[in-house]
Amino acid sequence: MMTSKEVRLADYLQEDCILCNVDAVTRDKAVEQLVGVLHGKVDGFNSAVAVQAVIERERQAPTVLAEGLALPHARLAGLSRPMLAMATSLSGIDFEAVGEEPVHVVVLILTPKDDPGAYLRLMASLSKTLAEPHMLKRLTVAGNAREAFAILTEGPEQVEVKLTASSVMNRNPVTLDEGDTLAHAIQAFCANRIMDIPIVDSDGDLRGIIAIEDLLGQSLPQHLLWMEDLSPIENFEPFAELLRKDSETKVADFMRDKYTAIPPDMPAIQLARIFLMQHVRQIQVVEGRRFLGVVNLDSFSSQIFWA
Amino acid sequence: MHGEDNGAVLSTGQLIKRMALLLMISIGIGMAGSIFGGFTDKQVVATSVFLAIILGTLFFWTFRLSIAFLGLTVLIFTHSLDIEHFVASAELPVILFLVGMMIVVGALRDLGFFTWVVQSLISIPKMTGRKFIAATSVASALLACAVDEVTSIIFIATLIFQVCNRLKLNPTPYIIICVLCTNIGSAGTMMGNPVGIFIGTKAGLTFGDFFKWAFPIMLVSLGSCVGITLVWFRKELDLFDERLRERIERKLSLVPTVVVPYKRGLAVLLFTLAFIASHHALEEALHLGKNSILLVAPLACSGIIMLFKHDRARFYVEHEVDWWTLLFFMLLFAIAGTLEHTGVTQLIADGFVSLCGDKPGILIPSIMATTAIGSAFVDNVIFVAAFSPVITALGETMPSMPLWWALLFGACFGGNITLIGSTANIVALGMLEKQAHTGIGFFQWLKIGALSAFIAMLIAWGMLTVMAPYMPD
Repeated sequence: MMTSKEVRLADYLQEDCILCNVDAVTRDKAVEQLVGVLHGKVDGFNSAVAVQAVIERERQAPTVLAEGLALPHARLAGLSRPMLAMATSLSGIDFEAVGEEPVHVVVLILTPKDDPGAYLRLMASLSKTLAEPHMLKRLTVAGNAREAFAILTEGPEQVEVKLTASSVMNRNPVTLDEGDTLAHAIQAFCANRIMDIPIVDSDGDLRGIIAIEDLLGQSLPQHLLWMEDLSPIENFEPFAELLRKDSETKVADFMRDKYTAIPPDMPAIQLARIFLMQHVRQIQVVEGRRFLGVVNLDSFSSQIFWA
Repeated sequence: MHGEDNGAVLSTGQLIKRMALLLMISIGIGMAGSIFGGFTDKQVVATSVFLAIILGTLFFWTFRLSIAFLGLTVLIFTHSLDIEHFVASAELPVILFLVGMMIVVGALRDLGFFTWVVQSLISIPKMTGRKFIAATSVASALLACAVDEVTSIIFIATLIFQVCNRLKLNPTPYIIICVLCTNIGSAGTMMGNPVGIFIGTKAGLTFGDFFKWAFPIMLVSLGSCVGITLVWFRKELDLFDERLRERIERKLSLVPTVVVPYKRGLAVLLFTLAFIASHHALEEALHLGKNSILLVAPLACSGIIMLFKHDRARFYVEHEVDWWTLLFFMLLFAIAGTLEHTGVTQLIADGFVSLCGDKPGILIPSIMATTAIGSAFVDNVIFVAAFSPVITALGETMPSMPLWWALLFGACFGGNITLIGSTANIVALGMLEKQAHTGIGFFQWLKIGALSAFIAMLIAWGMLTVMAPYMPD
């Protein structure tokens, strides 16, 4: 199990696991090539199973993180230690992510199934390294594996990676402004299939949150819920006024000003406790009042159990 | 009376200190009774245990049941109480009456009765803030008469929170108005407050007696309370009026209203009330003991309800009945009964007579004031349980009915004095903190609470003095 807080990319990515300017033009082909490179270097995994797991994971949620970058991954039972492989492509690889251009840098991450921390640490380390200015461009045009490896490892040899709220948070969640109307909120909830939306003001400060239950609660207040049988209002009559006035009602009128805000450096494991003890679905990450992002229970769980 | 979390947030050191203080005071007063009042050993034990319960509710509200259990154990071990007397003093009929009413209340909620009441209040024609609050506070008092004060304030406070939430108002003043009126209303019938049914049972008073003697006094006192609070909170009500007018001009409702099939719920309530109200006539016609039908009427009604709503029966019994409180009452009655068996209450009665004389004109305000001040800080059921044998003893030499009413009004109206004076206050405060994230200061409450309680008790004193000669002996 990966226990050190320091992550040294060179420990997980060997020079001969870098493929420069591959001829693969499709996601599946690129994944096959990368898995093939790793197979034989690490004990305990079957390449066909690994390819299938990575592709299945990509089908369900593509891992195209930034323009031109994909970080496909899988957690494999029996794998003895985490491993990375990288491929670059000048012409681009179609990763089948809706609305995304072909990617030029692909880093495959394989981690043992029972080591959720390894995946999170490698992700955090790679995000930090690959976010350096012009990094993706330089890697794309690197002529050979040695050059690409040198670019990747030119920074500090070891990067200290702490698994904090910022490692697991979504930095670009759907948000609403205080002045937005109920109609905007309804649109945001339904179009994005989400349950909680932070309300952020024009300065980027978090002002409150609105949950899908707040919309229901506006139309079905407590005194109606006292009744065991709501069949007398089976046509949803109490919702009529709310919907009629949805363009006039501001989200500020019914947002909650009590929310679960945490600083970005809170250890990620602490979030599990908050989810369990406070029965919340979303935790807001703030620095002072400035809104940084959210951690949703579903994505947090999938990062631990499945990603 | 008490704070809901009293004792729950104490450190171990604080807990031990308070427990030691509790034991020292209760044992000290018991011993003082032995030295200066000639108490026997059993009287010392009974007095100390009862005082421990009183102090326990003050210092360790969350531990009150464990203190009551331990107190009972001490009484049994010291031969101050035996099982036979415990069973006789535990007032099982009163407990069962309360169980029955709690089940009926659960069914009324399920059937939409309370939803209908709330919607009727919201739908008042030509609504203004003052009209709404006046109607809501009167409804709260009458609902307390019909079911009980805690149920009433839970439903009424929910309405206030919803309305204030829509109008962006601080609900605190409006909650205070409704709670004060609920406590006044709880004196109107024997269902309004556990002390009502306890006094009714102890004094042999019927539903009709309450309706004839207590209800009119409650109504006049309620009128005074509504008037005083509307003037006291006039600025807040002006704001309420203004916000409500703005909302109505925007053609927005206060809260959504729907067609509620309330008739079944109303029928259940009316049937239960009619059954309870007719208990005396039925007992006479069937040659049954006094108040025997009164005490089983809610059980009979809840039995019928559970027959029809058999899928909810277990839920009603397990979740609608406040077993924690009822168990505490049972032990409390038994421990207070020990004061009677050991002759402590006779000594208190003698002391009361030697201090205040035996003239009703002086005894009525003395009992009312003593009970009110006691109930302002200690659970009014404890005070009434301890005081009722005193009234019984006083009643041997003079007409007791005015004294029982004085005890009732002192206990119910006294709950208005402080914010911990009654269970309704505590429940409303808890809801205020949870739902509106705000609280009420002790002195903020005390000023209007003590004023309204004082005026209400003056009215009760005056009316009781006028009515006393017409009351049966």
